[in-house]
Amino acid sequence: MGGDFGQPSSGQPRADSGSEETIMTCDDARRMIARRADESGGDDWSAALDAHVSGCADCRTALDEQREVVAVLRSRPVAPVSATFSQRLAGRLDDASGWFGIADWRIWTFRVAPIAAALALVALLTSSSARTQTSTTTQTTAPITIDEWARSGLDASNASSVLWQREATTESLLESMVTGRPSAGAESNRVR
Amino acid sequence: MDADRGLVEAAAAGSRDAFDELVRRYQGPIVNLARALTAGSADAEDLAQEVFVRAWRSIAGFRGESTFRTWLHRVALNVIHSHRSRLGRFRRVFQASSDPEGNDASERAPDQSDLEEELVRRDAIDRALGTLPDDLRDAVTLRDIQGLDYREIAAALQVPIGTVESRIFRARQRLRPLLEPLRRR
Repeated sequence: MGGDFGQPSSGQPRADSGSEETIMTCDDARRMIARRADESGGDDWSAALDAHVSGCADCRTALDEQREVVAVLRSRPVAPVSATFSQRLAGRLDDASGWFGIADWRIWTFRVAPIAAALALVALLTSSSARTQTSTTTQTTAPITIDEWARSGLDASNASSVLWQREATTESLLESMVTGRPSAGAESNRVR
Repeated sequence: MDADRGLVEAAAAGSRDAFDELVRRYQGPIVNLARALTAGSADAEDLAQEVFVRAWRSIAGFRGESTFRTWLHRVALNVIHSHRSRLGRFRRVFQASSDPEGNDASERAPDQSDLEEELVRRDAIDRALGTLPDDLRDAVTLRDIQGLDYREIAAALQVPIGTVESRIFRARQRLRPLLEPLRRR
């Protein structure tokens, strides 16, 4: 009886517990034998397993062997923990809790993410509120006319004033745009 | 009902005291597991420490879908598997393994305490476990060494219970001839 589950049994007669009761194959029995050997079985299949094992020598042997192994494994002495284990671990946990630990992405994911989300929400609401106030302020200010806007462009200190000068040459226009100041030539030809 | 639930919730909220209590409860079983799954390696305590550090870092994400004990064992298996994988690569590169069964004597330093029968017994069992494929070794260790029930093992290994039963059965079959000398003691 050395095969894995799902393979045909060793050729021993299949046991059944009665004419109309559940028939347990050797493959089925092996899983239950593993549980029976370590006493973690259930009542629902216990009778069927008993019936099968009583009629199947291979499974009976397998059950005995499994019990032997369980007994040896359970007799394994527990490994002792060294006296310094707790102290060394405390140091490592302190490190993990400190700045080094904060760098761990899981900390950010699980602990800081909600805070970050809350801050983002506050920022969003604040920004939205500021936009509303700006909009209100703009509505209360008298609207600027096109003439006023054009005259503002005639300010000689403004580079864009060159745009309004009919006499401005291509060179002076380019110079004003590059330097951010009205060129000397353009200023002398400024429209008054 | 998870007996550790209150402590786990407190630890997840950032309480080191609560987590320290969890460490006190589980340091023995986790060191024991690390030794069993690394054939008594001298690295077992370091691995156990790494288990708790990882658990502390990720406990806030523990959603309580299983017991803390099951979850901690899953963390431990991940840490130990990574260690074994690194060790395997190292051995392949440097051809350091002198034992085809993977029981490299250099992995554990000779220790005077090995003379004691108890330690010899544990060492023999750990070495026998070390001959098993990973999936069989994990299953039988969690059941017969750690005492987890079949449902907990299925959750820790993330496989169906039927697979757990099958693995445990096959693992014991393979272990039986190796453990035969210990049975007579």
